[in-house]
Amino acid sequence: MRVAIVVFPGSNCDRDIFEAIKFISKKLPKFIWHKETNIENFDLIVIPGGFTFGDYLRCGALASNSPVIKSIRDHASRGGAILGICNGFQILTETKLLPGTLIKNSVLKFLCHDLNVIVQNTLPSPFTWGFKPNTKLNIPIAHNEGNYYVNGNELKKLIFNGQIAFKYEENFNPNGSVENIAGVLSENGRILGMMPHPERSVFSHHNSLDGRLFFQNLIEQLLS
Amino acid sequence: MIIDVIIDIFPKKEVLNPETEAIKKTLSNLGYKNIDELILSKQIKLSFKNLNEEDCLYQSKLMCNQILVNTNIQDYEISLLKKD
Repeated sequence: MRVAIVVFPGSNCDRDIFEAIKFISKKLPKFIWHKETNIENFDLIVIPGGFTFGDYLRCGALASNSPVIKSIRDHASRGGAILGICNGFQILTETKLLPGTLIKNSVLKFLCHDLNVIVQNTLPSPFTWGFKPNTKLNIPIAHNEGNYYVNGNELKKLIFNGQIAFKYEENFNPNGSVENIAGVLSENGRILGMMPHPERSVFSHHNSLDGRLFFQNLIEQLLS
Repeated sequence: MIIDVIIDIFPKKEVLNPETEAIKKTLSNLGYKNIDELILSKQIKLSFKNLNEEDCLYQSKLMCNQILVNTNIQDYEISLLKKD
């Protein structure tokens, strides 16, 4: 199991991901600096959360034009798995590897708390298969721009294709995202973007261990 | 010759903008009750040298589509200002 963690100026969840993956897979992930142009032979590339380039212009916009992105696109075109968490999700939408855009939370506040996300019935994907649909995972969020937006036609496509991976609970949508979306998959199911931070619910000092379940399942699915 | 290009970037009408709504609400609380529409835009000014007008516009459009604008949620307008 070879995992790459891409680090941009302003990434701040890279070490949390490192510790989570190391603990669960018993293997050491590799940090990849955003200026690297040749990343190959990884089973999973993780784009961690943070405030890359200070969120200048738009969240993820500058990072999505970093040199490393070409390698990430190549990995995606080979069907490689990519996980973008929070700012990583924003970067993946800015690169257009995932549809939609993350706009400002409807409450105009930075949100940082635990909540439940519900695993959806999706197309085949290492990120969701292994969970029964409607499984609740208690995973924290921490974001200012997590309000997922797609236009009506794109939303219909996401629903039809089974690309919605996670939803917030009905009536507990924290940020105003369309259809309560908390995470979406690419059309081939190999790329996931999610706003909640599974790496923050892995260890016994965290409020929940559901992020551990998420990574355990992902690693099992990728190795199977 | 220097050519200035002004790029105005604003949210698409169909995208609900919570920031705009908050400003409208505050203006209404201040007594400005007749505002039908409020648009919060971002302006980028570029000064080009040694390029003709056509190329300035072409490059500006490329930049907008490549990085400056997220066309999922934003529209843009480019205007040109010639200086000596």
